[in-house]
Amino acid sequence: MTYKHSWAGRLNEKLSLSPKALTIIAGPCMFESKELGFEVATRMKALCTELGFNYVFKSSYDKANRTSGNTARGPGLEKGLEWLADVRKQFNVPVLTDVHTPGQAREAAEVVDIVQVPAFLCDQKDLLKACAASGKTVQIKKGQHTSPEQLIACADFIAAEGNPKVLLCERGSSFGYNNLVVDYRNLVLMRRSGYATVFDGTHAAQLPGAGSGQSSGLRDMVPSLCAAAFAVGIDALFMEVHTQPEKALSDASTQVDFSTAESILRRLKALAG
Amino acid sequence: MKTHSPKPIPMGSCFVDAMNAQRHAKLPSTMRAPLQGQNLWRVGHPEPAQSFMERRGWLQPFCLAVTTPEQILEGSASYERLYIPGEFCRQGDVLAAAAETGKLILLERGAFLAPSDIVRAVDKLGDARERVVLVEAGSSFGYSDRVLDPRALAIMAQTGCPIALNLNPLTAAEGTSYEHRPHWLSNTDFDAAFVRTAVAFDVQFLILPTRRELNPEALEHWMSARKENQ
Repeated sequence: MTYKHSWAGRLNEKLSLSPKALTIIAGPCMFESKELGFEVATRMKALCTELGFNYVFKSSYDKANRTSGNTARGPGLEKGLEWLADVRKQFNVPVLTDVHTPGQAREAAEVVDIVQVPAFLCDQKDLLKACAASGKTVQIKKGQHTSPEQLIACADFIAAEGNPKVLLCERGSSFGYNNLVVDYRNLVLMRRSGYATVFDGTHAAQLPGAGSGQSSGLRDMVPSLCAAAFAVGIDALFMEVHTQPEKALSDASTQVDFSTAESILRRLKALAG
Repeated sequence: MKTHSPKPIPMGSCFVDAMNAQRHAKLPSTMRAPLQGQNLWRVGHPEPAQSFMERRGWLQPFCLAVTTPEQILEGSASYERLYIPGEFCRQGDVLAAAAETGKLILLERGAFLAPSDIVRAVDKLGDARERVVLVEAGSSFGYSDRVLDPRALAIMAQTGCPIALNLNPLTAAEGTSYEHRPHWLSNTDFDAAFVRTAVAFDVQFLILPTRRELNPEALEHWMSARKENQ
């Protein structure tokens, strides 16, 4: 199977997207500690292996656009990339992180397999150009204010820069203030475009800014959102997993614990038949 | 909600985007006159747009649109005012860098952000909040469309910051070539309604469209309101 511009879906030297095995991109929202990242990677890799899914580790070294300036941002670029490199080596899995400036894209690409463009910044051409030039797979989150066609145009921009390795990620659209809805038509349009399609099941459950200085969310909706996306058709599922979500330093209302993550993946396995 | 004192910025000034100066030269002189001199300010753009403008002897841009800390550091050497686009209104590093410059900051509310949440972005600017103009540019209303919610003007004004209305995103035809964009979707007929709303809600600055001429009725209304304020 190949995607648009004849990309084979290869995420690194050992792992490719596959219609036979859904790819799960999962990890803690913020890389709060090396121990947290290792524990999540351990559990999620084992679960994915058991169920026959591919696994990619994700985490952020800097939550650069938080609702409030009084909240934690993460370990920072240097330490965060060091920990991501450790996860990549220890667990032999591809790793993903998000970047906010062209300079960060260049530095992160030295370590990670997938660089992610945040939703708010999905149409920033300098950032897209730097991500394209990194040579790594680029995941673009669809802005909450962005149409699917705009997102696809951003992917075309990256491809025109000479990098066809693009993942399009749906994470919900603004639906009035402090609220998101998932328009599942977008998954159809994204797939129809020929690019690989990812669904972000935990951010899609966010209620942005609704938590008095931080984003709130509807964690109980995550399993259903994920199942619906899988039913429509996706190449990968993205979700944020934490040992104790309610104590997480970011997105505490939407990250899921291991039990929920396992329940979601077993449900998808059953749906796959 | 925290409040603070309004800034000492003249009421009723106009910003005119750089690429629109030629357009406005076509306006009848009776309309153009009030836009000359101190009132003809432009939102600047980084090179090469700036050199393009300078070659034509156009006015120095009013402010510089910035999206990274590096641009802010470089741009603040030449510009007295910085414009942070809505997509960057929560980017901690961008806000911190802008705050350090000591320059006046025009902070646009992201189309995705609830008006009540802009106060948290202002808080990220620390003491620099005393030099902030908040810019309303509409709220996301489905794909490729924005609406002007008058409540947003009132809510943002509670921060104590002066308010600007940017007609560019409100009237730009976002994604005109997209398959699923309804053909009737255009806000360009509503200049006068936007401007009347802005005046009614005590908006102090108007940022004019860049790709077309402003509806003369809208401009006349704005200028009339300015005269009454003087």
